[in-house]
Amino acid sequence: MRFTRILSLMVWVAWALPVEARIELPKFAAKQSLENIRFMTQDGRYTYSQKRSGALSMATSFKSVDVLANPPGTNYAVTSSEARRKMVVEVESQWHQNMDLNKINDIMVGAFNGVKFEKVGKGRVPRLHLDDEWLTWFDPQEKVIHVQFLRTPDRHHVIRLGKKNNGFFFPEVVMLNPETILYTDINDKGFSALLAWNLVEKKMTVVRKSEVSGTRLELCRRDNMIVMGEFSYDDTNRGTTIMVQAWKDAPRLGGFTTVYRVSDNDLGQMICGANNKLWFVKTMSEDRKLNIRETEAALMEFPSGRITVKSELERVTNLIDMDGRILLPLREDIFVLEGSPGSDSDTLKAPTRSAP
Amino acid sequence: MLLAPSLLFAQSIPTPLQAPDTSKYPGVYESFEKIISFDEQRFDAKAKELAKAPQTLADIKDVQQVDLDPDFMNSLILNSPSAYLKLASKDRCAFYNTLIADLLKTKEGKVERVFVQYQNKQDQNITAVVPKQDFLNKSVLQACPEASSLISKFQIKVMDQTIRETSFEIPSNIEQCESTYLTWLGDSKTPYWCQIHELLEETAQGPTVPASDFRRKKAEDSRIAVAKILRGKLSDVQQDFLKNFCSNADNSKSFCSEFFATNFFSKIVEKTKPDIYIKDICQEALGKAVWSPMVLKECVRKLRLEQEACFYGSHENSGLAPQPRCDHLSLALNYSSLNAEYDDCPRYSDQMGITNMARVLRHIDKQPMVPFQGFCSVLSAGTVFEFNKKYDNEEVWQAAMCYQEPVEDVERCLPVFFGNYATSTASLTTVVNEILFRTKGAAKDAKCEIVKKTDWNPNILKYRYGCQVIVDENNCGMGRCDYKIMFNEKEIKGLKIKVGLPLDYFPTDLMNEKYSQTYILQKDAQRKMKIVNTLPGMKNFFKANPKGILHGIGCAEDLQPGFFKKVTFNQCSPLPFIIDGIVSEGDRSALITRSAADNIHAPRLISWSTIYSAVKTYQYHHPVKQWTLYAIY
Repeated sequence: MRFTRILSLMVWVAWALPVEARIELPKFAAKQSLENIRFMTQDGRYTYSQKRSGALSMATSFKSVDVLANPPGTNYAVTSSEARRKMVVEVESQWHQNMDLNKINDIMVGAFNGVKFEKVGKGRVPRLHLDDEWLTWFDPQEKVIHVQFLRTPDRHHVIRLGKKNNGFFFPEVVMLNPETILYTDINDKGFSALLAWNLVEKKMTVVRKSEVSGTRLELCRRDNMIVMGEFSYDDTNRGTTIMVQAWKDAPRLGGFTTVYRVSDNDLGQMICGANNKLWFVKTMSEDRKLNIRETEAALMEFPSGRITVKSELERVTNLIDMDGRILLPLREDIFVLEGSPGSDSDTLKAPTRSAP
Repeated sequence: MLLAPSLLFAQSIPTPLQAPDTSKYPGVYESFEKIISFDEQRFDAKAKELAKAPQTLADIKDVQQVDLDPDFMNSLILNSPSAYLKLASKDRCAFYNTLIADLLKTKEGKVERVFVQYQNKQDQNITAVVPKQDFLNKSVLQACPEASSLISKFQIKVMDQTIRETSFEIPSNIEQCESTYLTWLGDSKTPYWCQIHELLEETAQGPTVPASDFRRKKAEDSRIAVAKILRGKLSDVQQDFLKNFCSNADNSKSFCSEFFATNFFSKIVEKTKPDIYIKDICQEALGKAVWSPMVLKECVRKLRLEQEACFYGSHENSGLAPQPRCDHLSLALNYSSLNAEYDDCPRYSDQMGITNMARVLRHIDKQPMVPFQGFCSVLSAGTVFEFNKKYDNEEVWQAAMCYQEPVEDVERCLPVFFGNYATSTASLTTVVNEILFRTKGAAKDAKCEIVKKTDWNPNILKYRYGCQVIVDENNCGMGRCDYKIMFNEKEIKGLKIKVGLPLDYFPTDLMNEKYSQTYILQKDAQRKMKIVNTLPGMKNFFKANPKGILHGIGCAEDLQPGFFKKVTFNQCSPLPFIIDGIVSEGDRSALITRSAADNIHAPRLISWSTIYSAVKTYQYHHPVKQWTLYAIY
């Protein structure tokens, strides 16, 4: 409650943004070719890589083993969660030939750092929830969210999304508890909404509806905090709002407190990081006539609400959380915002000499 | 004889000028007033002096050596519109053409007499005042024989042909506009077109001369009658074009700003642009299914006032939404040159490469619309299928409907796309007809019909017999579809569908390079393509090719990050796009861009750095590290 009260004091329209002097972000480095890497643990001990043959391999301790074999041209997307119990692989065939934005891929699940993966369904954007016991993914062709309890294959639910004006919409999904799923949707008039689906009652509740059309909602959860951001789509010029719900005992439907509201059209791409941190892409300047923006990575810390600009690259578009490493991909470079930058050295550490 | 004002002044006006005792205008206007006043005095004095010794130009030694008197020239320069002086300044004949067309004026107004200098046959230097018509007959038409043929082209009886031979095309981007401007500026017919413009302007208010002034009244009636005929021959667009050029012939920026400063939606009301660009938005914004000029006007008013009114079109036609806000959409469309006067429904596209390539092909080949049935995305499928078939590359089309050939007992597959496109052999009902003919003994000329699942009702008589392909419009693309076939009330089962339309847009390996769409475009369709990887390179391309387009592939998450988000390491969804214009302000430029997911009528303003990032990232992931942004010539 106290946390929430502090958050409510943070709605500053004119935000003083400290920029760290001369930010030079380290570039991510690895022993393998970066373009082939699909996942690397934070300690760098396990690396999943794409092979030209179409296989996905896992390398550790100078050993490499193929964990999935598919025809050439197959691409893999590998994710995990902060629980670090399971990993999910999305298998995309004919990566460069099949340019269908709504294509559905095989979703495979395995143990964290594991080598065995089993297919659980077909769809896109798989997400692990609640200590990696639950998995959700989206089928953009059928417009349904699939919810799977991983310990019991029979516990499978679907949530059907509404008819919408954007045929390329992908929802954000967060599980509050084993009964309740928060997800985003837009209606046929272009209004976004945060909805809750009760798996037991099979009932939908509207948690929050956007006041204006042309915005998109982003959701992320970390520990006892859910963050919801409302951002403008492209040039819709609706400004930015970030809302937070923090709880001690149990999360609630609703109960979001606005902590940040600006007329800037921030890009968003939120990541809820460890230690009450929210990473997002902030718009630093904007030519609204020509729709040209300068964007940087920004960090909002809770409960202080302090925002710090963390990059000086001018054209940041995406942020990625790879096993707790916060990365900023830009063209052929990957910059590291938080976590180890890795190493491209093959030199073994010399054994520590004991004192004579 | 090039007009050189400073030189002419130096020859004809003694310095320093004497300032008048009083002046109505302070500052710089005072100097102009002095110049004009002095010129008038000189003109009157010269006219009075020359009138004492009238000449007939009968003894001109060499017509090429006839010059206008410097005081007469000064008067023309000071009293003629600067736009027409620009037309006159090209060369001697251009000057004479503007004089013939009555575009130049002296202090007396319309030129009725001319002060000339020439050498007679006795080698004497003569300065004389002569009637304009004498000057034209005895000097101008001799020195510039082309003038006679130009005059003849602007006679009423041949005007239709002259209009047909002249391009009044509205430029679609600034480079094209500059080119149009220079073409008109250099065209020797232009002064005569401006004469027509002046006549239309002069007579726009109707009769002004009192009936008591018989002579002038008769002349005015004649001009009004000619103007009326010309208004009937020239469209509103052509008249507006002439007005713009003739008013701004001395300033290309002013000429072009008339086209581009105007709200694009207003151009639709004025019928200089087709209404297909906003019809969909209007019907959604106003909630009206009917379409009329009144609805259009009401809609345009709304689009000019409410930026968000452009966000969404109809569910059927929409692509990536929300679309750009209205001011950005208007700006982008003003500078866009892609042939986009059709719908292609990207929301139903399951292969963005085909949607993009069809847009490219329809632009460069200027393909006319053909009849189609099913979703409008079939337009893209049919266009690209026929393109590949034309160049013997139809094997690239992998979507197919397969059946068991009863005689030979082998499986045969026919290439297919879901919908009908003209007489294409891969049209859905053509393929189904063929299979039913082969397997069910249906008539060769039987006609299958595509029916939406929502419209299907087996109790309706027309669906009881014959052949219907029932499709679920919410789950159909070009190469995959939720469908069933009914033939004489029975569902046809056992047909196998090979779904998906994978193809190489740009080559992804050397072995199969020749099957890629860009290879066929270059090698078979003989289109030149050139890599563009810098902004100056792109600007130069548009300058040299005002109607040109560029096409490329970038990662969707970098090209349109507000719509597509990266969540995994090295994530990249290839998304083709077309750039068909550039709008600059100071050192900033936005590129007019349509990703294949965007509605073809809703281009976006995207910065070069965003485009570069998207292509650069895609190159990083590309199997042969190909740069995938090319200009098409």
